[in-house]
Amino acid sequence: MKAPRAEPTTSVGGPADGPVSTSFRLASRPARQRALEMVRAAAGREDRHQATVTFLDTHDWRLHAKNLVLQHEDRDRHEMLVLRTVGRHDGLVLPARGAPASTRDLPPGPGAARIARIIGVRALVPMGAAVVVRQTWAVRDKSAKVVARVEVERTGVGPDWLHVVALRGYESEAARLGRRLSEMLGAPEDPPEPLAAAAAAVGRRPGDYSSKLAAGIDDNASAADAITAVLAALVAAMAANETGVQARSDVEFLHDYRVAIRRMRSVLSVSDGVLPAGPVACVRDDLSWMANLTTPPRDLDVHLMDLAADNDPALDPLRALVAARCDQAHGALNQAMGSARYRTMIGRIEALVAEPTTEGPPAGDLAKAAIWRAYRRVARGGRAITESSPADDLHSLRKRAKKLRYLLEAFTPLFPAAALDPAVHELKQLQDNLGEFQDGAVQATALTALAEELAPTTPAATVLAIGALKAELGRRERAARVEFASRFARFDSPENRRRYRRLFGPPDDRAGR
Amino acid sequence: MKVVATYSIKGGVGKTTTAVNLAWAAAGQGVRTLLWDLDPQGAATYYLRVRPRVKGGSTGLIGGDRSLAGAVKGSDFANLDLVPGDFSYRHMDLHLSDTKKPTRRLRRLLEPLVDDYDLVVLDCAPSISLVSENVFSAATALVVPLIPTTLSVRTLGQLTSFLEGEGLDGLEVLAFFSMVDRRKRLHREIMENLGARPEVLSTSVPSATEIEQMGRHRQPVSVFAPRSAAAGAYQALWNELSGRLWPLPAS
Repeated sequence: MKAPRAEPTTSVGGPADGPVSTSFRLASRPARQRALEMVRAAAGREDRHQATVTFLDTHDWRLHAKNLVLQHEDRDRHEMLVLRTVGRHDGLVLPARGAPASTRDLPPGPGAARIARIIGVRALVPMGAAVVVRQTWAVRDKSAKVVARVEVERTGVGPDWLHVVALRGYESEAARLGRRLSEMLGAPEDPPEPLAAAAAAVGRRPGDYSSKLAAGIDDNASAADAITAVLAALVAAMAANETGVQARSDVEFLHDYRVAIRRMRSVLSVSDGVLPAGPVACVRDDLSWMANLTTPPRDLDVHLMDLAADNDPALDPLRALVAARCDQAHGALNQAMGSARYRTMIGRIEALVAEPTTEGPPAGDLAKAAIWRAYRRVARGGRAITESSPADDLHSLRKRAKKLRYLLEAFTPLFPAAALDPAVHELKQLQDNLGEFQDGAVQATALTALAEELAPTTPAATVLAIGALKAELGRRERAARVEFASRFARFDSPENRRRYRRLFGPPDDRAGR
Repeated sequence: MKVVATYSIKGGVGKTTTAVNLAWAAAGQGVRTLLWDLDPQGAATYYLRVRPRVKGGSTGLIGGDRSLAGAVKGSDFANLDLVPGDFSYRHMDLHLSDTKKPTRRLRRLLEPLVDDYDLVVLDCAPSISLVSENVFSAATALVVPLIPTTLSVRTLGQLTSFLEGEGLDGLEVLAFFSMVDRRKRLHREIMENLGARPEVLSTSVPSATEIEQMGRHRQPVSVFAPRSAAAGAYQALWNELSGRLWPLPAS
């Protein structure tokens, strides 16, 4: 059986992928024996090692999404990292000291930079492991130059595999050897991708988590079906991030966890008449409690990241203080996540998912009405903002915009993507602007408070550096404020208004005005 | 893709051994490296046990009939490939002068490989010629081995003033002391006098038997004498050079 080989979307890049190797299944002992006799006659023994291979990717499979596999290999004598294309046998080799947990642990250089561009701030987490015993032989020419390699791999799972590895510029030698082995072992095959099996053993599957909400809702779903499907996906997203939040593996775990909570709150706020009011009220209370607990650690995570990007040593005392506050905030969150109240809340959500009481209207009707309401609130709020509006007005507009976004995302499957995407795009542009304004404002307020907390012995250089930071934040905030008018004008343009009306407006209105 | 050239106006200063050992060290750090042996003598090619022959020779490459990718040979080592030297390269100057924009030809040949390699190391014959002008136009930095003798140091001055005169001041010159014998007072004195210059790297490579033995082993020093002082020096030289080529990001 020949497994299909997917066309790579991103290759490791040029010769790191090297010429394609040819692989043979060593199905039986006599076949293996004969093949190895032939290999020994044609090639000299080069290496034999046992490697513990640990597959690494981000929680949301950013490398795999680019068709790449990163593996840490602990061999008998040394360690290395191999970055290869999915389904390929070899790739780019990087030195390693222990399995890297983030880009910081990668050896500096262009290889690490390439990985860093893909994974960003996310941590590398183990996605399963395998133990491989490998023997390699080298075919050499008259000058003792290696012109091809043969590698026999034993994993203990399934049959052994023999790979003929070609060298660039010497492809014909590998091809010749491949043909001779083919006569003995049958046609070459694509070996199975070991990542899949290793990941399955630890309960993971490539692509099994994404920060994108993907609830299975079809066009004929009732409101109850849709809301419970979304809630089920969101409670699963919370669960998928819990360990990472508590271990603080990277800042995105908390971000995704927090987004799941907020999406849930948005969806529950439109569940009247579909889900039982009593339990929903309890869950909304609890979610609001949790959401509040996630705000300080998230703000501090962001603040700490921004400070880390600034190399000024004068800011060290501030960094230390923010780091300490961040630890406290995470501690408080972790405590809440370990509490009985938290467990009860999760139980209540699961109960809501399991037994909706009424079918409610068709999902599409509920979604349209809810999104339309949320859209109108954003439009009204935005139009009311003038140059003299207080910062709080922009903040509350940001919350309204977020709610609209969450609802759009929750009910995405109910609307045609081609029509929905531009609507989401315009909203996102507006949100980015409001976020820029808000982040500047939050950090500036935090800086004032933190500066007061710093010891009186704090060096003047630190105080001055904080002043400079505040000034910079002020500039960002003002720039965002100036930019707001044009961003909102685009969101509120006749074209975008027609777009929202057509998609979500009341039925008699949808023809578009 | 960064392009560095090991270069010296003067011969016999350890240029080729530097090219081979630096390329090997880079590859060992996971840098996808291509070593192009531009010297018709093909010494770098010999050290890597590759046949010193390029299909179509200098005419094929320079005339544009053949791509550089077609000439690439995999070395015995991961991440390290080679474009072999070829005896016909001795006429490369003539072939270059027949082309349009004769000083840009090597650069054009390398362009299609931009996504394939992180680093190209050019090893060229000593002298200032049309080939070396091509190398200056293609490279981001020149790695210049410098024997700490008066004459050798004088050639560094000649090189920098030549580059300035040609308007190539953007090309970084990174010199390092090569074939150093610390028992010699002259070596010590010259190193002390010049060591503080920004274009002189702090790593130096000793005069060592292991480096001379590369011809016998036909391997980079670190492969057959991994614990030798020479192997350590090339590794340190690469580390320093790599820090210059890929400065660490601010965070």
